[in-house]
Amino acid sequence: MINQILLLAYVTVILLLSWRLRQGTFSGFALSDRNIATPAIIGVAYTAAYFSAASFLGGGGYGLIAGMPWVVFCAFFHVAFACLAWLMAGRIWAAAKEYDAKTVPQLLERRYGSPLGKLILAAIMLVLYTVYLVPIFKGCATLLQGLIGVTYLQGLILTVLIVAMYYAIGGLPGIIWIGFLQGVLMLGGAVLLYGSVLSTAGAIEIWSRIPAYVTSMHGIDLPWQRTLGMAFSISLGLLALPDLLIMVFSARDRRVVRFAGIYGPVSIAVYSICIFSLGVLAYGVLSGEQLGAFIKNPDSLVPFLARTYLPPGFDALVLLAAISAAMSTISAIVLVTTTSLTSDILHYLRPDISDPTVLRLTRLVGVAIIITAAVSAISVPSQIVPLVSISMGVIACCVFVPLVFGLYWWRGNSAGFVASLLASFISIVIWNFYGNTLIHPVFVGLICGGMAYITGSLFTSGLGTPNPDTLEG
Amino acid sequence: MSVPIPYMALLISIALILSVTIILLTRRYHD
Repeated sequence: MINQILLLAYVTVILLLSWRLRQGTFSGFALSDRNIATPAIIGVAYTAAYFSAASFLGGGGYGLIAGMPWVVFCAFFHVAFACLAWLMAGRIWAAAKEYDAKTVPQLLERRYGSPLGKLILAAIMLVLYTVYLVPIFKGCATLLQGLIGVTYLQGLILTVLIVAMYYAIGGLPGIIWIGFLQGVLMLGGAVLLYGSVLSTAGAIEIWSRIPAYVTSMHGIDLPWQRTLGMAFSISLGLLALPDLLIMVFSARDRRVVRFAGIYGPVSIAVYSICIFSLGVLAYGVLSGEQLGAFIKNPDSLVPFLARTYLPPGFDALVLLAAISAAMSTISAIVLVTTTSLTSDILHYLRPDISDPTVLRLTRLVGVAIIITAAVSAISVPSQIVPLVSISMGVIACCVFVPLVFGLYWWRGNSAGFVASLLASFISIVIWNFYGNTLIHPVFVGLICGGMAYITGSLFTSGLGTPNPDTLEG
Repeated sequence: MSVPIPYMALLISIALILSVTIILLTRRYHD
């Protein structure tokens, strides 16, 4: 009963907040009119949008199989890339304002003068983000099952209703403010779990109970090279995922971006250390028999730890934190996916379309994407399974190369932009199916995309190069 | 005291990276 009340209170707060932040213009809906003035809100919402339920459950349990390399590489890359991302964020914000860009594809289109590149990137985002949403819906529905005892299907319907409502009413302001609250819950849940596991085993004494093969950097059942590649490719998202970059776009001024740059990496660090360590710490508190069961199904480790080691009632908070992690990611992704279709693709095909129509379509298409992903999650189509694991890496790669080169290298032009998009996308897909599994496809995508960008730009120099003075500082 | 060396190294490097980032972000604040 307490769990139901907790969920009801959670949903009520979310809906009230989104109603208060309801938007009437496309710029307000997609970009919050660039008026968010509180750095902590943007910084923590960025963290909430990045980490999904997969990080909470999968990231927590994966250390059981991968051992210490998972904890070290994953936490290190997450913090390092978050810091890099926020050090670049001021320049990204200035570029978005200078070019009056409302979406990431629009920013790159205007930097390179390349509507074709925008169209390709928007299409890649539309397909791969929708695919990426499916497992997040699955995770969220499973968590709701655990929290309030509904069926999986009812869990999916509840997720759709909650997310669709706050997305359609509040738009980006709703997503960011609610994301902040969800982020606080996630951080609280992560610290609570980490602290309770440590205190159960006598704080620092826990390390003396963990076998040496678990704490060595060779890895347990996975070679450390694979863990390194996975950690790198997952963390790369922090630098270039469009659903995170729009948080930067929404800031009121550059000062807000700078200070958000403190809250973002610090919250990423706290969450990463607490969650990614759990798999290794579990070796210090669980029996051999229990460990054997969780090694077969690592995702169930975190809910078990919450039920076993937290005081009664607090385990529900941790489940709610995981649900928040899923919902904050879903809502941010739906927004960027939808605007890539309505604002980028549709505007390209029909330039005379009015803003109120685009806004109406953005609301409707967003809800349609939410429903499509949820229906696919009822029984996940086998064709999309291999795509899920690389979808985020492909999007991050496709944005990372043209974004970073575009901000720091003025020779880059539209030919380089389009070449890098195609090279990243094709090389990652091919490597994923036919390449050496020790080398992660995202490494290959970054190298191929970067080389294609440089070659394309140098061989067709003089095209689409803007004035270097516009973004200085 | 038995925290494994890789974990200790991780915590120290994270503290360092965060400090440098915060210094860079606040030092460049002159709008």
